[in-house]
Amino acid sequence: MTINQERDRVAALEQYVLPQLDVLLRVALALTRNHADAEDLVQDTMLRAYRSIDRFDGRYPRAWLLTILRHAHINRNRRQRPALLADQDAAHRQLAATSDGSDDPESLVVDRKFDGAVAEAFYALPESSRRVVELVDINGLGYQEAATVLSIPIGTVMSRLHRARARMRKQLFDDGFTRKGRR
Amino acid sequence: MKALMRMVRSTDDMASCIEVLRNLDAYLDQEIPDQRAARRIASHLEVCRRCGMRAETITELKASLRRLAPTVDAGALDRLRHFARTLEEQGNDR
Ligand SMILES: [Zn+2]
Repeated sequence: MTINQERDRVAALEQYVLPQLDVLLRVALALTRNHADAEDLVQDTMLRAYRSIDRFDGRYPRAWLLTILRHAHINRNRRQRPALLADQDAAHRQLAATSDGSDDPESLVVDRKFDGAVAEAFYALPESSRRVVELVDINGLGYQEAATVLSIPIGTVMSRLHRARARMRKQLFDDGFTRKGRR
Repeated sequence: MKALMRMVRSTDDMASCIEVLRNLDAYLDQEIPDQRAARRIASHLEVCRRCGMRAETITELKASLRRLAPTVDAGALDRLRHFARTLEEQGNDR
């Protein structure tokens, strides 16, 4: 490798990879459910990205990195089965704990109640649609990006998202949150 | 008022309720690449109370879910940035 190529790589790493660390970490956390594993997965992704960066055309860096992350995740899973839902209960308890602030102004209490109910509805979703909601709604990925990360067709992303939102809407409605004057 | 609650039919510049409900998720997620299709949905939502309320509910749901996003651990980000520097230095040594 020439010095010029090496310099290009470093520049490309800074231009394409570093700005995406935040989203990569979030998606890794969604996949691994564990902070230490998520960090390892992103590190692995960075290493793979760095090695293949001269083959990257510079378009859609986030999609490119998410594809690498997906492959890295699959490879790691072959070596070790992750404790998939281990952190879920803890996360749920944490959310429940933050959702009742009693001495806050009224509007804030209403919002917190709404957010708490949304969190409940989210955790009540079946695993497969919850993952789609987690990537698209919580972490802001596009449909194609979510499809890449989950290795499913984009049409499946759309139908799961639609079903999940319908379910959550229904549960919120049943909980008394209606458009006009929610409880 | 009653007229507004009736199902809106499709016209050249306005989508029907059925079209809107079928594409509302994608519309609110900014996943409708066809500008004209997106505009037809937008003009429908301005006049149809029922679809408009559905759109508002999904928008509020999305905003609330967004607030569920875990804060990214600053320590992890620092360590990963540091890792990027070691990658660069190793590369330069080769
Ligand atoms: Zn309508």
